[in-house]
Amino acid sequence: MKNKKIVFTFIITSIVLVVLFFSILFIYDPLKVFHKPWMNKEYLQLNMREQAAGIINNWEYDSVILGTSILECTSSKEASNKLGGKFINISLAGSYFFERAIILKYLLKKKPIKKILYSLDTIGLTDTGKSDGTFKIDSWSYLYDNNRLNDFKAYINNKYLKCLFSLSSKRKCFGRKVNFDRPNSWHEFPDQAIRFGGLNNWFNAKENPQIKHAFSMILDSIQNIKKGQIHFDNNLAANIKASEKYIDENLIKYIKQYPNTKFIFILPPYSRIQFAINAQYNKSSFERYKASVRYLVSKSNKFENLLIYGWGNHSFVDNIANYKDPQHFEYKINSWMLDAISREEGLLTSTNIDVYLDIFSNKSLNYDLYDLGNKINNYLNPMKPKKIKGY
Amino acid sequence: MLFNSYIFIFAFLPITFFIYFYLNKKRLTEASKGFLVFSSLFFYSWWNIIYLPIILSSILFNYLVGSILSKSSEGAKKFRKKSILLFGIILNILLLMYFKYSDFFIENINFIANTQIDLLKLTLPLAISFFTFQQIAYLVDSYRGETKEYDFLNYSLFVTFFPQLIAGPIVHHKEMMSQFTTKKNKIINYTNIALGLFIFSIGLFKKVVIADTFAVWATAGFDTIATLNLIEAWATSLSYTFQLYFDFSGYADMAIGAALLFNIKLPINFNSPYKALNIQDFWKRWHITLSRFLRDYIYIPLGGNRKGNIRTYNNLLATFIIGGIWHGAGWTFVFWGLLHGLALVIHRLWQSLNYKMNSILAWFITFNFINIAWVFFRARNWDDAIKVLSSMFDFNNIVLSERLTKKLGFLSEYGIIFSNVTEHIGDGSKVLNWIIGAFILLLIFKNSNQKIVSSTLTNIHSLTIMHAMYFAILFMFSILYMSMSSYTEFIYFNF
Repeated sequence: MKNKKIVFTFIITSIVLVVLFFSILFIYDPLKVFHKPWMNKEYLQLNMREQAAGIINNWEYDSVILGTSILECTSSKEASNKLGGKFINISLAGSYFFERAIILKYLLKKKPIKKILYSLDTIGLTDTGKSDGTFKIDSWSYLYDNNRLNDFKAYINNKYLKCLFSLSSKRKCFGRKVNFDRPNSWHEFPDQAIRFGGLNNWFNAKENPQIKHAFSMILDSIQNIKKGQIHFDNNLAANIKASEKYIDENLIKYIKQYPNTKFIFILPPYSRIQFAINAQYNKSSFERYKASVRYLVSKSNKFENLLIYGWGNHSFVDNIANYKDPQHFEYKINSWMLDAISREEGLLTSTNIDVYLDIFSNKSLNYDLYDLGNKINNYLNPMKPKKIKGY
Repeated sequence: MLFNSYIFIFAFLPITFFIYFYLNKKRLTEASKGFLVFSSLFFYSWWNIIYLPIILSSILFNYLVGSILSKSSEGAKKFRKKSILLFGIILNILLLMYFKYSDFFIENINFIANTQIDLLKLTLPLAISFFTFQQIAYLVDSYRGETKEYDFLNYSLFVTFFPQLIAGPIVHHKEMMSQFTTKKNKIINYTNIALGLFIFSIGLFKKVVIADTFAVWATAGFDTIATLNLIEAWATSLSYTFQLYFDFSGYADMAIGAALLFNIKLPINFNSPYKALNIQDFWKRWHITLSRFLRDYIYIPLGGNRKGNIRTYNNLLATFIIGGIWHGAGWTFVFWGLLHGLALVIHRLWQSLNYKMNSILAWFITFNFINIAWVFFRARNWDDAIKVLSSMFDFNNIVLSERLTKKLGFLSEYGIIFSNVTEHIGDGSKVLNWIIGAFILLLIFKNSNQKIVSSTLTNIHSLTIMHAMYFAILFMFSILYMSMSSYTEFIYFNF
């Protein structure tokens, strides 16, 4: 009899421990997945792939900004004012369409969504990647299924359990205080902000990893162009088909399924430097990009709820002062894009797409990368100024 | 299905337990046994169902041969009986050799004869080494007239009983058959359940918390990192030494615990082996049921120690070389077996001198020998083994903690570097703390069998409610840890 009690004590203690443990996790809930925060209300975790689930589950909104780092600085309040609706910004830095599709699917099922502002980054239009390797899909995708119980998995790891058992109030345990208007915006970070304003500011930040990468990308591309080693693959047609399929699976599918949701797609206005490198060196990628844009625009004829905007033909793209690196522009441009969308400026349709792409291509092909390369070389190697010969 | 998986702990084990005792309660004894065999085969097939026909054929074949042997009267012609036994053993060994050693054999032929025979690349059926040895023992005992006649169901249960099927303990029919037929084992026994749950919890903790932690550093040192400094090399070898013990003894504890739920007592397989003061002592404490098999079915039939010293030494070497190759098809395993055989020969020679060694020195020599020998056991090839071993004695590549720079900075003149000690295999202080912790746990504390099973069996009232709460916490902690661990499979599943 005594041993029967012992067995039941073991079982009951185990059950109590499980219930207690999960109750504490439920209360702690640093990603706000289970409930709106009871404390630390202004705090969010930096990793939006995980954090977005909590925002989707517990915040009030009817429209969503779902971009990459390109849209992280877009103000949701401003978007609400200019485009109508109540926006939240859950942009995922460096995300593929595939990753965002996981969130898109969950989001659209969750409740009726009026508008989705979405960035069509080159990485999505020219690559059919299923994961970028840094953010393993399996490590967060379960937060976006219909099983709420498995969401606890997000907390059963060294990071959060250490936080929990040590009752730590460290930033990593509760996240950092953010402005919900644009939780992961980076435009106010000093090391980012100082790089706007012109090439000299890039030079001043030459140790910055993004600038290092930019310089090496620019110089390598120029070297390769010089050597005639233009990147062009023979499988372009097949790759374009693959991109179309990828777009269908990760974007068009939802556009078709949710006709009452307006999908506002923007082609990020990267700096002309980036477009020029693609046009002059990564030729196959550039052609694939254009083909994907054409494909999407052709779809916008079919689906009224799909709008595609592009400003790659504008002159602000040529001005390096607007950029902190070859891709990322000043937040004022985010603001300007919202205005443009509200007045339908830059809307791409089957009637204007050819003209748009012609201007865009010509500007990108004619941009003087050699001049930029010389400036960078001269700055990096002041003792031996090197002149890269022109075209 | 792994013991350390949710599906086993929360689905397979409780479902099997309740249905088994429900059938027994309804007096459907044969059905309950049949169900246990079915469950065990299901458990086995969970990995890969293609192995199922192999184990079933092996069971059927050995049952038939065993039945013929046990039915043969005393007066039956000894030659005929021996021929049947030899036939049975040879077929078992051929099965094992085909699946486990074919490629090893072909590789060596290719090397010696400079041929290019294609490897068969067969997948090793799970547990084949264990169920083959177990059944060879059964055949020998049947030949010796030490087995009764059991029906096929009982025999199948003896071989397949899931707690011991995959990686032992290698059980003896004598200690199992009677337990399967005893009536009192058909009813729920709360003492056994309590003991079973407690020892299972300890095993789970050993496996998922301790062994899997050491596994990370051992794997990094052996498989990933090209060069190791002296301390990293020692940390690597010790990590594996502890990983192997906690992994295998954790598995054995879980097997014993799971079997106890069904009122079956499996033999203990470990008895604080790293406390051994000599190599003979070690083999009385390490993988006890394998040692027992090697002694009873190889060493003694070879003549044991009855035919003079030289023959004894040869028998020891032969037994341990066979033991080595049983673990895996590779020369590093053969060499590991040879090392242990040689150590046992040296130990016998030492014993014959009648000198008594200081206990601490004896432990130090024994432990270090075992630790070094495990390097060959673990390494994927000779190069990896030499890499770790040479680094363990490379006094030109010593890295000490930066924290010691102030006190021992003068040593840098002698080429000693002050940096992150175990930079390549993991967080330095964590690795070293865990190694120290493992030494303390293994050398100072009683082992799980001493702590629970033995003490409870001698005093059945020694279990308390506090025990239940303590082990429940241990169990749940392990379950939690399990979800964060990246290592899952037991090392001995490969053998």
